[in-house]
Amino acid sequence: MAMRQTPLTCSGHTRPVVDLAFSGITPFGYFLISACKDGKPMLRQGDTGDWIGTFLGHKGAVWGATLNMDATKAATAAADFTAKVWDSVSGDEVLSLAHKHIVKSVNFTQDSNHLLTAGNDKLLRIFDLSNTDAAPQEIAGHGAAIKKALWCNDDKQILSAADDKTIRLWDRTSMEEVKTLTFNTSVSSMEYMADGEILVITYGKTIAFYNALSLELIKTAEAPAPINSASLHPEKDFFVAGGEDFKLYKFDYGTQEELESYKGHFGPVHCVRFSPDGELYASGSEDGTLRLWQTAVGKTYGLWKCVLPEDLGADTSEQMYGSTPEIKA
Amino acid sequence: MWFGISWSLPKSFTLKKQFPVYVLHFPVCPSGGDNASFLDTNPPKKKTNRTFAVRKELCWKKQHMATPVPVLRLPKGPDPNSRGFDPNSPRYIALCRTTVATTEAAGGDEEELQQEQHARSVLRERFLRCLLAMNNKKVRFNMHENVTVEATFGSSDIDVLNFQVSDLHTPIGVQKEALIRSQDVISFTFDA
Repeated sequence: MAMRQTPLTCSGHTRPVVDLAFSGITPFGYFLISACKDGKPMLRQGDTGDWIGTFLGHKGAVWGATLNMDATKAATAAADFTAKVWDSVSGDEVLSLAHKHIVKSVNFTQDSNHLLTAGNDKLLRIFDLSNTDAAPQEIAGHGAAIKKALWCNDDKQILSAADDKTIRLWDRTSMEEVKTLTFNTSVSSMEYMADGEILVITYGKTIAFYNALSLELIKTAEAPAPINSASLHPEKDFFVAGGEDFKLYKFDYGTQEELESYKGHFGPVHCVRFSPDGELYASGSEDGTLRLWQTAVGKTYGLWKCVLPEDLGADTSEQMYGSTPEIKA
Repeated sequence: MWFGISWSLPKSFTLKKQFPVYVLHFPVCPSGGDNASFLDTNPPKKKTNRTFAVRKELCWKKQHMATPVPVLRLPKGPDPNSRGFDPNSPRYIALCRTTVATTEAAGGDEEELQQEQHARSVLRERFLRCLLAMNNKKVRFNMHENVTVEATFGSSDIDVLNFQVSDLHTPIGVQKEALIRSQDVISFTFDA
């Protein structure tokens, strides 16, 4: 009997969710941070979607959010011209880094000692978190607002995607541009996978995979609608993409064939990310919700419960949403 | 003018798609025609109605027969009263530093470290004696949002996360026994 995907809806945000990031796997599980235009990024338990806390302090829409590998620190980029670093255990603001324009992207190095920020001022900045008084290193070169900036190649290089329709690879030590990729249209999202050095880029209706070191094209896939974000499964079996038609598409990475599409969101999907163990993926949408989707539909994981064949005849509606939601906004 | 509407499946329909697309056909009405002449040229077909019902049932079955994956509960939403980060959660207790770290003695500056430790222990002792002296005294707490409350101090918990007080005078009344969160307190004063 075919199982139908039941997405878990995480409510709480009051405005569109524009960015999502998972942490690595920690002894307490893994975590998810969501950036929202309501200025209140939230931390959630990654496998269940349970809300843990809200980072209060930003005075504008939060455009980017990230967690470090062990989920002890969080960083957010906002329209109030600041990037903030938070203690994600206590929720306290640790650092506020002033910028000259809207900050769009933040990214920790693997040792969590440096923070890369980028935004509408067209500059990449590297902050030393152990020496906060020092001025950040700045890298100039982009001709338009930078949408996303990521560390790559073991934090030795930086990848940045901007509205000038280019993606540039920079060397951290020399602060010089190493390579540029030019597109016909603005890149809507970029994801870097360290294991395999794969870069996932979306533009228009295309999802493209590049080698992150050489910036050579590996393969592309076409979706039925303009795509805002895509994510590759950690084991590189599948990739998921979401875009303007409110649907989530699941593709096979080997054949680039569309396997499934899922409806559920009530607005364009802005961001999709796979969890670090690949068992689920999260999507953030214009409708202000996050939804968690199973990779293997029907598997017992997190809040999803496996149904045995003999139980299928019984009234399954009883098991679904058995307990009433505790919190009503 | 009455329009007869019929539904049909486009030829490219495949079972793979979750939601079959139905194409709406509007029959072309004869220009300038009235009801009588339209029915003469387009008599209603009984077979079309039956096929439509069968197709509708098939469509419904396709959508609903696949069992949705059961879920234990919905993800917990935000607490409207607090910003979260429960101090009683295992992660908080394990990871949250409740003490202030010592300055880095990178150059092996043993003497400075010793002095700092001495200063810390003196301050700690003074603080603990202060807490002892406050016991059963009237204390005024200055808190966030310009809130000042008066209460009889009881004691503090081991991590100084909460203060136990009695007869707390609040703007909405007197609370016999209460716990004040120490992170909400900016300062407190009392007469020794």
